[in-house]
Amino acid sequence: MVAILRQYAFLYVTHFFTFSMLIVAPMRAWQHQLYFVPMLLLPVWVTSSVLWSEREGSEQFLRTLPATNREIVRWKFSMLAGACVIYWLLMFLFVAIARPEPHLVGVYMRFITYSAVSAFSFGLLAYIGIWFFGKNPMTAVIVMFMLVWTAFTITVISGTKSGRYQTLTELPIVSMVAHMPKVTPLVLLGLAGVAFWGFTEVAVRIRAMDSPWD
Amino acid sequence: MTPVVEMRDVVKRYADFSLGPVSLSIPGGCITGMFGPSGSGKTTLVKILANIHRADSGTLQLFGHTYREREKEIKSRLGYVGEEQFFPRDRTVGWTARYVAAFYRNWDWATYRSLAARFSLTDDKKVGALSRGRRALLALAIALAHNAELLVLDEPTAGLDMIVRREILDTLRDFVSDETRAVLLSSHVTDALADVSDYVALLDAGRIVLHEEKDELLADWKWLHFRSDTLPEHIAGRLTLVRTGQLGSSGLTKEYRRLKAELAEAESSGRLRIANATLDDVMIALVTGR
Repeated sequence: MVAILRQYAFLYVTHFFTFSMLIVAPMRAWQHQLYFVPMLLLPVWVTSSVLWSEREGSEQFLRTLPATNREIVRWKFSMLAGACVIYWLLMFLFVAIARPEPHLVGVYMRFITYSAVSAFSFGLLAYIGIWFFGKNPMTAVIVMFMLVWTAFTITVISGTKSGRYQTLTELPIVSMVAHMPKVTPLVLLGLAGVAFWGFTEVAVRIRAMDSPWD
Repeated sequence: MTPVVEMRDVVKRYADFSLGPVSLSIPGGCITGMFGPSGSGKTTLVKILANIHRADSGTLQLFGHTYREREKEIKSRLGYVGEEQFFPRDRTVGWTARYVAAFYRNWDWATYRSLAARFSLTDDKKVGALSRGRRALLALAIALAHNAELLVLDEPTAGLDMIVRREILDTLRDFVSDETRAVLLSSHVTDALADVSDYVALLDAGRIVLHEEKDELLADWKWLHFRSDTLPEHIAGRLTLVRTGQLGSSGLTKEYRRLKAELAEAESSGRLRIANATLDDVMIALVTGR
């Protein structure tokens, strides 16, 4: 199973650097609050990684190897969760370095947490969608999602650059997240665990059905 | 001795095609060739065997167990060489071998290195740059390096040059010299694959219409070349693929051993000539005769 981890770790890391390269230059010129903009792009990064990991033939290849459906699902989902957690930690580091005003720390933390959770959820749904509907129909759906999400992110960034919003906390999306219910880390972890288990069970059952790609 | 593969009443339905019910038993120490026209269901059957497809009904046991009971163990004892290999095209041969090796406890690098050298597979070559034949050889090297006990090959020699084809057939012969191992190969053309097969199964329109030891089968199926009115009506009337020309007629019988005594006189007098049939002949006779 380490082999699966190694293959997909490479995948996520290369995608991470691709996205980082895209945003490094604009970030250098902007206010530190905009360091959080990558969080907005996290779902695009995650779903594109999922799409790439399920590229033509990879599923059939895995099916011929001695790994059970449960193991494959568990490792792919773990990889996805790991990627989101690493990105969350990175953003947490930015919060620590940026040293925002104390009352904003909670807002930032909620923003990065909910962003990571939504990216993880989108990634899980992308995997399940591909396994259930097949690669081809889901490619169109995921590409459409990525385009819409990117457009949304650009709109948000444009609002900040044009001076409509001075700081990250003024962005409607951040403001909306800031007013979402507070969840303690323990409850959040519990919810994540339940979601992981639930999605895994669904995915294992879907994969046990016949493969739709032939 | 438990058969390596035991398939009972396996059915798989698609919108436009239905396979089965198929029952098939594959013993150890031999090569079973499964032949049939394109679209007869060979690839579907092979994919069910390799657990790439699931059957709608019926039972399948490999090494005495079902996939539900011991999927991982069965897959680690099975080597699958598909019609098209699904190795990541953007990776090298060496990377692919290392990746796959991590899944198998019985992986033997010495065997892999020796086969890779024999098949001219270099570690730094991209899989996508390999020809179809070399990719099939890579799959075969991988299957043999993890000490598979059952090799399942789908159209293993289709489109390959004679040298690569010979490499594959020689390797298969070596493989089954161990009595516990078995090979199932499927093809829509019999050609050289028929030579190495010990058992032959013929699939047509989703059904197995024949499954027999090859030598027994070919001992029964013979061409009879004869002049008109040489053969008694009850024999001539039951021949298939009958052709009549100026020099006489010919037809295929599937009962040669039963009719041998009856035909002996005509044969010794030169009015009847008997020739061996090929598996292609048998296949055509059975498919067109249904």
